[in-house]
Amino acid sequence: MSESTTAPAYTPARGLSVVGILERFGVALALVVLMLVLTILSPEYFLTPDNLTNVANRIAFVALISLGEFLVILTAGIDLSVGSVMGLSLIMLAKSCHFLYEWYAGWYATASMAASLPEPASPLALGIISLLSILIALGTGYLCGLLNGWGFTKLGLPHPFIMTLGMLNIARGAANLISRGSPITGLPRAIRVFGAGNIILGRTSTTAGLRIPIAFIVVLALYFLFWVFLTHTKTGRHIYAVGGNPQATLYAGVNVKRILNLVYILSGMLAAVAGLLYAGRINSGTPKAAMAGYELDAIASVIIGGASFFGGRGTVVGTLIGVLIMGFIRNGLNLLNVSVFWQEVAIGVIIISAAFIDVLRRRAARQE
Amino acid sequence: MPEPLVRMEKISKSFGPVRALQNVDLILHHSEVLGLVGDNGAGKSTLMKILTGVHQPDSGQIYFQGQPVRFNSPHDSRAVGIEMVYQDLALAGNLNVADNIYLGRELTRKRLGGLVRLLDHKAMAEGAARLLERLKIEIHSPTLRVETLSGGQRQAVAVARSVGFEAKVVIMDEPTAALAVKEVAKVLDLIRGLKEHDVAVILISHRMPDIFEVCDRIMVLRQGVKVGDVPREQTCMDEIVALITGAQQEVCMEVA
Repeated sequence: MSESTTAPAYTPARGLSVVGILERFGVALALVVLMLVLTILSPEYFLTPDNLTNVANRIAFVALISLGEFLVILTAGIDLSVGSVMGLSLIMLAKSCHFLYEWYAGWYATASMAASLPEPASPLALGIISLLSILIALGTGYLCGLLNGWGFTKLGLPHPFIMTLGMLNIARGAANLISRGSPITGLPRAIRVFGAGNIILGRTSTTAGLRIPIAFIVVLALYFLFWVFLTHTKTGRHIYAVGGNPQATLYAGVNVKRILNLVYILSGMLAAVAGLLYAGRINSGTPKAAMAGYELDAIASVIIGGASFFGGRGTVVGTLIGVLIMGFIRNGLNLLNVSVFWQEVAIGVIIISAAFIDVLRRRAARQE
Repeated sequence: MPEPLVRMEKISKSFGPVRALQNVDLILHHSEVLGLVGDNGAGKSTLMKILTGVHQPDSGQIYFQGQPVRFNSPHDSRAVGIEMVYQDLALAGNLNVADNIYLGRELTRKRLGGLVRLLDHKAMAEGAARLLERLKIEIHSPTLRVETLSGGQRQAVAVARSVGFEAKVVIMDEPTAALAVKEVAKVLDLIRGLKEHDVAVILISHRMPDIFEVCDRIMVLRQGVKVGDVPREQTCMDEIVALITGAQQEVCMEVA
């Protein structure tokens, strides 16, 4: 889709070079091959609706932090804090729900005009509490992202690596401090639905129908939105330009610092939405989410998806495919009863291969 | 004699104890190519930075089309139509030609009933193609990525970028320094072509053959002072080199 607007990389006269084909379709091809192999190795289970639904559910939150990571990597930066910001937002979400509920319940019990107000456990009261909690979680993501951006653009720290490494530790610590190290369980339905709800298609009296996780629909919607943003808006074009040549972008009159701040803010907020999906899935806020190292999965997905660490290169679709490849590898190796430790080894090899393909592509492009 | 396009009068500028420019005058006429030469540190860049508003002069006055002007930032000079083409800094290699030409001034269209403003890729590609054709720049398609172009083509895109937006003066700093011989000729053609579009050019270059090939007039700076300002037909390379270095002036031999 995006190819029609970003145009062929090489002159039409020469046709598509191997490099050009690899660059455009390489990742998609890898995904198809992977799915074929898994279908052959696990014919009775891999391609079933149940398994695919399961994978879609599992990859949802990683897909969102990967999208944020992609935006940052496009500007030749890195955000090491996405996993722990997701965890912190998750804790803030759960904590806010509990705090607001208790506060309202206490006030409701003592207030004289209580009769005219909705009960604490009523759908309306829970809905408002959920909405406020979601806003607080998004605000947490926003604030972490803003600070990440400022560390680079205002404090002038040498590389975003440092600021976001600091933020990774701060968010981890804060998540544990706020939750006192243990999960905050029990969330309103209005929050759980994002991570655990399904839309069921084609259910009849005889068939169970196809379950599509709402979390996956949220993912697809946000990926589409960001595809439009990156390829069809001024600001999106400027994000690519900053990644390609920040100096030229500055001379062209673009406020480069604003663009940099923006990508870190978006990354933080996408991490908060990921936290919302995560919360619904497990019906609680657990500080473990901040400590699991999901930022590394996000970076891996982005690199596998064909984005370049040097910035300016990569697509939203590629990132989604990178996420799917990671998800299917984990899922497939599980189905084949391969030990988790071998899964880590396999993913490591794939990350290195993906980065090496980028190196080959750059080398080939130079020789053109 | 009509009013010159640009007149810089008695420009002086010091950086601490260093007197970078002393009472330098510069005149640029409509559709003229002015060669600005001098050794490293002679003050060429400082003078151009004053003209583009990067630096402000300690004393002296700039007139643009006869009106006194004051440029406090590159934004001000660009607003009246003075554009600087930076050597390697001007383009983003990962974007295509059209995106680079329109970088920072993208064309948009309202979509979804005016709800959002989205890029008009088609209009930008067409506009870029027209601009390239007008300037006789040979690039297959405005949708080619800049990193796939040759050095000369990139330089041409950088020039097109600046000219494309109603520039009246284009300042080029060593545009041919990093180019192959074949490509130098193309860039020089492009500079000559700008005249036809009523654009004046100030060309800074160390390559005397380039200067003599395209410039109408040559201005020489030495140690912050203007030491020469001669029409090309009335001088020769030896004389200009002598002015640059401060050696005894040589007499030019007429070659029939």
